[in-house]
Parts: sequence; C-alpha cells; structure tokens
Amino acid sequence: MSASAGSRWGSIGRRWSTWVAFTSEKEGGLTLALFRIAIGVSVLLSLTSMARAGLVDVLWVDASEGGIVHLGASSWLLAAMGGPTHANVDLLFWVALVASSAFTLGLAGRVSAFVALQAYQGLYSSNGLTSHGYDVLITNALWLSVLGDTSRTLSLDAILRTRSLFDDTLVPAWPRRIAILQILVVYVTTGLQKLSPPWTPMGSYSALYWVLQDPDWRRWDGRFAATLYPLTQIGTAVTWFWEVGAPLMLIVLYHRRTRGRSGRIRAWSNRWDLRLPYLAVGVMLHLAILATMNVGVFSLVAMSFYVTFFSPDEVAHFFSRLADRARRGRMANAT
Amino acid sequence: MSGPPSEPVASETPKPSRAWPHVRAVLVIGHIATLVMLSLPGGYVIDKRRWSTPDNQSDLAGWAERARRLGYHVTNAELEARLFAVATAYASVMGPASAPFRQYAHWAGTHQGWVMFSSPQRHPREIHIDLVDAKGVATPLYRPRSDSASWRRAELDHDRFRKLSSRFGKGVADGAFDDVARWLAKRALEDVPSAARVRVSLVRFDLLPPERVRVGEVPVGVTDRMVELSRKDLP
Repeated sequence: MSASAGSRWGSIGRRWSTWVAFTSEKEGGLTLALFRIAIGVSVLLSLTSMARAGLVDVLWVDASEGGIVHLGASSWLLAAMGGPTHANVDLLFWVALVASSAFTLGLAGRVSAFVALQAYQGLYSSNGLTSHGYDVLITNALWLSVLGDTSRTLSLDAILRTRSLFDDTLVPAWPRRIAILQILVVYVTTGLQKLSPPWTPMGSYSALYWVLQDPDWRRWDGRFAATLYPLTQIGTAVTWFWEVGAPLMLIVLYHRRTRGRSGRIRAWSNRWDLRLPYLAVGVMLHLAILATMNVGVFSLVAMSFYVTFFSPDEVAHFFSRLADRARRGRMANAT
Repeated sequence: MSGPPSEPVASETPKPSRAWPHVRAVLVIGHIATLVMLSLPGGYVIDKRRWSTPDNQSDLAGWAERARRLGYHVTNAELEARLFAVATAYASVMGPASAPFRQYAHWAGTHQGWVMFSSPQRHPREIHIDLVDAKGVATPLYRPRSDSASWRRAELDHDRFRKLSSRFGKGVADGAFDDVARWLAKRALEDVPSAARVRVSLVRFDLLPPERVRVGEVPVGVTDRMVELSRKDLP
C-alpha cells in the first residue's frame, strides 16, 4: 500500500471514529422528555379533534361500511388487520388514544411510542386524501421516540423505576440531533419546492396573500389580507428565506460544538446564540399560521421539535432561572 | 433559552472489540439517508393532473414570460414540455434510488415529503351543498366558512375535510367526487326529511388580487362539477 493510500485510509478511519464517537454520546434525558410530552399532546389533540368532529368513521372507514370514500390500506398494520373497516378503525383509534396517552405520560416509553406510531399511521394513512404533513411529522417523532429514550425522566417510568419524577441517567444524544435535522430538512425542502412565482419577486411575494384568501385553509374572512398586503409580502419573503436558510442552522450548531477551534466565521457565529433568532422567527411564523389558518396541529407538532435545539443542561438552566425569578418575585411581594 | 454551551456530558469511547457503536453509527447514517432521500420531490413531479391545474399552468406561464423577457424565446407549451422531460428523467432516477428507503419508511413510519403551499391556490374549488325542491329551486345548505349555510359545520370545516376539498382544487381527487357527493347527499336527506333532492357541486373561483378585494369585489364561482341526487338514488 502506498503512503498516500495509507494516509487516505487513515483519514477515513479517523473520520469514522469521530462519527462513531458522535453517535455514541450520551446526555441527560430532559430535552427528549419535553419533546415526548409535546409530541404526545399533539397526537392526542389530533385524535380527539377527529372524534369531536365525528369524523373518525367518516374519513378513515371505507365507503362500503359508511365512510365517505373508497379506501385502501396503505399501512402494513391496517392491511394485516383486513383494511379500513368500522371495527378495525375503531380499534386502532382506541389503541392510538391509549398508547399516545401512555406515551405522553412516559409510561412504557418505547413500547407506547411504537404502538401509538403504528396505530396512528394505520389511521391517517387509510385515507391519503385527508392526511396532512403533520401526520408524517408526528410519526417521524414517534419513531425517534422508539429509537431514543424519551421516557427516562419526567415520566411515570421514572417514578416506577426510581420513585422520583426525575432520573439523571444519561440517554443517547443522537435521537435529539436527528430530531433537529428532521425539522430543518422539513423547512429547507418545503422552501426549495416553493418555486411558484408568488413566492418570488416575480410574483410580488404575494404567496401568503393568496394562501389567506384560500377558502380551504383560511380561519377567517381573508379580506383583511388585502388591507395588510404589504405585511403579507414581507411575511412571504421572510418565510421563504427562513425556510431555505435552514441548513445554515446546522453550521451554527457545528460552530457551537467546535467553539474551541479557530476560524473567523466560527468566532463570529459564536458571538451570539443564533439559534434564538432563528427559532424566534419560526415561533412567530407558526403562531401566525395558528391565528390565521386552520391546518390542524401542524404548528404545534413543528414547534415541538424546537426544544431539541437545546441540550438538557440548557433546558435545566432555563427552568432553574425561571424558578429563581419566581422565587425572587415572591420574596419581593412578601417584603 | 441560552445558557451553558450545549456540549455532551459524556461519551462512550468506541472500542474495536465492541461492534454495537459501529453498527449504530451505520444505522444512524441509514436513517439520515432515508430522511434526506424521501424529502426530495417524489413521483408526483410527473403527475400530469398536477401539471394541468390552473395554478400550475399560471406558474408555467409566469416563468415562460420571465424567460422571454430575459431574451430566451420559449412558448408556454415548450417550457412545459422541457420541464416535464427533466421531471421525467429525474423521476426515472429517483424512483429506483429511493425504493429501499421507502421500504424502511413503510415499516417504521418515517415517510417524508414536505410540499406545503408550493403553489398557492389562486383558483380553488369549494364544495357547495344545496337542497332542491320539487320546482327545482335550490336553497344553500352548506357553504365553506359561511354562518348562514352551515350544515354539519363541525365535520365539514375540520382541517382534514378541508384537505379533501383542497385536493379537489388541485385536481388530484376528482375520482373521489362521486363518493363524497353521495355521502353528503345521503346525510343531508337524513337530516332534512322534507328535502326532495340534494345538489352537491364543485365550484371553481378565481381569487382576486388585493386591489380588487379592497374596493369590495368578491370572487364569482363557476360550477364545474355537479351531482344531484334524490332518495331513490341513495339506497
């Protein structure tokens, strides 16, 4: 083997070792626990909104048994059960409801995540005409919860195991990092597919105006958007650049991780915590979506991923600062 | 939520004798590859129904116009043909390349695909439901987001029903319209025993630009699909 080939293999070996070490890292379980709770609540809201509207047997059951359209069974589970019949859909609905409740509470962590995932997927995928992006985002989050240890702490599992709500045992860090990657990929790929002229200067950045006129999605009479047209244009431009710029957040996170290394760009990006403005814009966009459009639990599911941008130490630090502030406030009131 | 740097608190040092960290590292790569591959545009890029919607035709016309202004002479039809050829080539590569990843997604529930408002609807279709009396006079029973014709509003205004309606607007659910119309008509006749017939329509609107909305204009719908059913049509 020549010296250059040996050096190349050595370099590949070092990189592989770095990757193995990276995927072997562990951290506290607090962030993943909050992620679990937020996703669990989103699943419950999605399921209960269907039940409240009386749509479970309408949209997810085949027309031969009273549903609104003829359906297939795109999930392996529903196919194995015999398709979207009344009985199968009702069974899956209750299984999904119980499993997602257990998942939210952190009971039987990975098992409840897996059962909730398969039951929920069986339901929503039975009718592709009514499934949303948020359904897919939910099942992705549930799969990460099957792979990761999201019920290590802040869970009934922790209470049963340690008689305490909190368990400091470390959990694999890679599922949290995949969750970050997942939401960034959602944003960048949706942004890159917004090639229609209304998303560009050629269409006067009119996309959000049109979305707010669309009777399928608007929550209120969309005429207000005509008065606020310049604001919708700004919103369109901000949305597009923010979505397409999502990969920059990976660089920011890499720079934070390697803050000890040299480099002008690294030093510059580490002068501020650039995660905060990026996520703040995301929160504003999602709150605006919640306020003006009816797209189900999409914003709640998407924002559930935001907590994963913060390490468990940061989350704990945040809550301890909040608690300190509340304590000082109480003391000030008492004096 | 800033605070201490987000460094991991511990690390397992991989040892050559331990295979699991290496296997896990490979599996994580597999998951990431699935995530990325399936997030790229899929087979729908060659769905002719999508290409032919008024919105996508309008988008193509916009890009063709821009190309002509830049000195690249191309008709709308030529641009569509060229882009469709590119999309076909892309799909012929992506289809087989993403097949193994789709298998993983099928079993694990890790589907991807994030087309969201890529081409905002400017020509949506609404579902309208009317009761029709013996003389043929129609009375609105349901109009989307209407307070006066608000039959079964909790169901029909739900986001999943809106999704179904938006699929009609995009022209990708026309095959389901007869099913939907029959279901709606049957429920309407059950809920309104005095009704003789029910009409279910898809009404296409050309949404108006802001300057026309500001002066009080409202979009006028054109019915482009309609089914009228009586009790004897609905066993």
